[in-house]
Amino acid sequence: MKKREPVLIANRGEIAIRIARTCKALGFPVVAIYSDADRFSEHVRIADQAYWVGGAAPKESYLNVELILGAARASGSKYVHPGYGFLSERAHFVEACQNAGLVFVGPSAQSMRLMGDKIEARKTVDSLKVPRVPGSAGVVKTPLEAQAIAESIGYPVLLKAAAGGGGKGMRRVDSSAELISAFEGATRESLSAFGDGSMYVEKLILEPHHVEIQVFGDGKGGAIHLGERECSIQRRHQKVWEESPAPILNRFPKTREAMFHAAVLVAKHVQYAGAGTFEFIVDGKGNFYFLEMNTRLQVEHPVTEWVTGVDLVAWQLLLAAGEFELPKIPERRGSAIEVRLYAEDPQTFLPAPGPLGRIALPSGGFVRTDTSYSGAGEVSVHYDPMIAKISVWGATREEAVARMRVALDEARVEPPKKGAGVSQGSLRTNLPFLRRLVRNATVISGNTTTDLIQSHPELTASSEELISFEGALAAALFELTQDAGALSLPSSVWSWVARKEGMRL
Amino acid sequence: MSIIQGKVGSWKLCFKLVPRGPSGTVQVEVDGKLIDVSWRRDVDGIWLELPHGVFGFDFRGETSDDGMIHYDVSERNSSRSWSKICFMGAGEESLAASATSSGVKKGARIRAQMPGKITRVLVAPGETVEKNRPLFVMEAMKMENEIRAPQSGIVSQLKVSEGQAVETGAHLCVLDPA
Repeated sequence: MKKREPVLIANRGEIAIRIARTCKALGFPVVAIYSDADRFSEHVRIADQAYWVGGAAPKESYLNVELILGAARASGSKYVHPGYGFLSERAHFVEACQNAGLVFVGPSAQSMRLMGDKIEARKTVDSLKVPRVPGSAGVVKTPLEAQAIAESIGYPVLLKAAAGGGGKGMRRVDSSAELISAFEGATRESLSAFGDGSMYVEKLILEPHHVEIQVFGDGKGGAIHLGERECSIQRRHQKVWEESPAPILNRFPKTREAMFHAAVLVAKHVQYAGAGTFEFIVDGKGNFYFLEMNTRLQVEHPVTEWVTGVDLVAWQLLLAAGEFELPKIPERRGSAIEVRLYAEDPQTFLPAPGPLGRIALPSGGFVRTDTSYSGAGEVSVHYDPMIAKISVWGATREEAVARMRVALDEARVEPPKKGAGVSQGSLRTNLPFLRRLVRNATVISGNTTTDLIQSHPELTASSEELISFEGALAAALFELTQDAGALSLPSSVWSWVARKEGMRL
Repeated sequence: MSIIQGKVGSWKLCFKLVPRGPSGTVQVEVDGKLIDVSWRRDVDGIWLELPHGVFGFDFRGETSDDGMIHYDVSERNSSRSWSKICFMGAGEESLAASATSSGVKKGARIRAQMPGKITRVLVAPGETVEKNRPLFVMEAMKMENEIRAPQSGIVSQLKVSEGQAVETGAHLCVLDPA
């Protein structure tokens, strides 16, 4: 195996592990960083070297440029891979790496500034005549200004944080009356999350599908696409189910080609280096509009890896090492789906992290699980509550959906239990929601729009009122055969009562 | 003659033998019909073998405020589930029912469902609120979340102020019946 120089992975959790695996396969030694909360985490255990970079809060550790660069220096790292989130889209971090003599695995600071900032990106795509959603020309600073723009483009409109991502600092506004309080809320959220309260306003597209194009650039003006992903199924504006190919584009193959063309055109124009994603919104008639570019590896990149057979992280690393020639566009085969398993309430989608007792994630043919959890531990309140990404491949979409159903039925994520099987702690997961999702007729048909969850209340409704006969019998036998069951006296007359707790928020 | 009997939801079940142990077979009478059922417990719950098929269920118990164990029951290889099912011996049912109604009289406690920071308090003590009215804005996991009234009532025992950090389960306020 070829010996290469060490890669510092400036991240944690499943993505740090995923990057480390490819590093090891290619002969790059792995340097991990960790916060107080991650001392015993899996991404640290599998690394060749590990450096402490501060307290549990991201600001003190995974966003702490000085200590991260210190770790890179001390470990003799040559490369820094940022993963996604944290410092992955901060141009100043790219420059800090370069100034420290390190190679940042990703695009240049300049193309990051051109495409990573939403307002700059709009100017760039406008100059190349790529269509985008009507909206404010630049940053909107006051609610009154936002109101004037909203009137001119028509309600409903969307308020979005200029520095935002992942739905943070984003609000839908249906009327002039709601705008002012929504603007204030979004600004406050954006200020606390990103340190920047700038907003912009845009028209809300009806019957929207979220479709994104994966590109890869060589940094010298060459770029190719690696197909698309549809991520229309979202809760709280965050993706929960991603797939390729996009069912909506199967209805509009010309739109697919036009989107590939647009994405590659822009990537070449900014001399993009490495993996990047162009996010578009596609309406029910096959019109597409540019939304934004993510200048990093995406959470949902396994979907693309399944259909193309390409290890995107290997391409990133080899490009950074100067050993990469852009190949021709890879052929895409079959259908892949990924779901995100979160520590959250399956009805409200509010985060519900906490101690973890038992975790059993699906495996088997054509099933991939990306996770940093392997046993009892804790889903920390300090970081993103994602527990795992489960992805599957099938020769057809139908086959992939069926495989995903089996995978989700196999999964178990449980808080710790004390005697009599009673759970301890606050951990809940969206697994019940995902199991409903994979059985939903609209999801099975593939015609999903970004409002799927709002328009299908049965996905998040409380469970059925009346227990089935089999369920009732199982409950009786479960209780009666329990060692410390409530009824140890065989002659008891007993009853079950289904009672709702009133105070669950 | 039935040895042990009871009711689960709308189903009246009479067992002809006391079921014991991790697996076994028992006769159960339901709606005047006798059915053979085999069961096998496992780490997550129980499997049943019935004349019309095989069914598995996961059980997840939680101890609620009143000390009773509430089960969430989910059917395996299905998305069906039933929540907040609790088991009571004879005579306890009426007791629990009265405890519930007196609980409502004392008012509904609003608790934080996760750790975070209260960024806004939208109500004042003594204020009458409708169901679903936002009570607090809480920042947690970098998101702003509204905490809404689960029922209408009068706000009392307001325990938090703006800017305060709270832990899971922290008491925020009480809604007295209007």
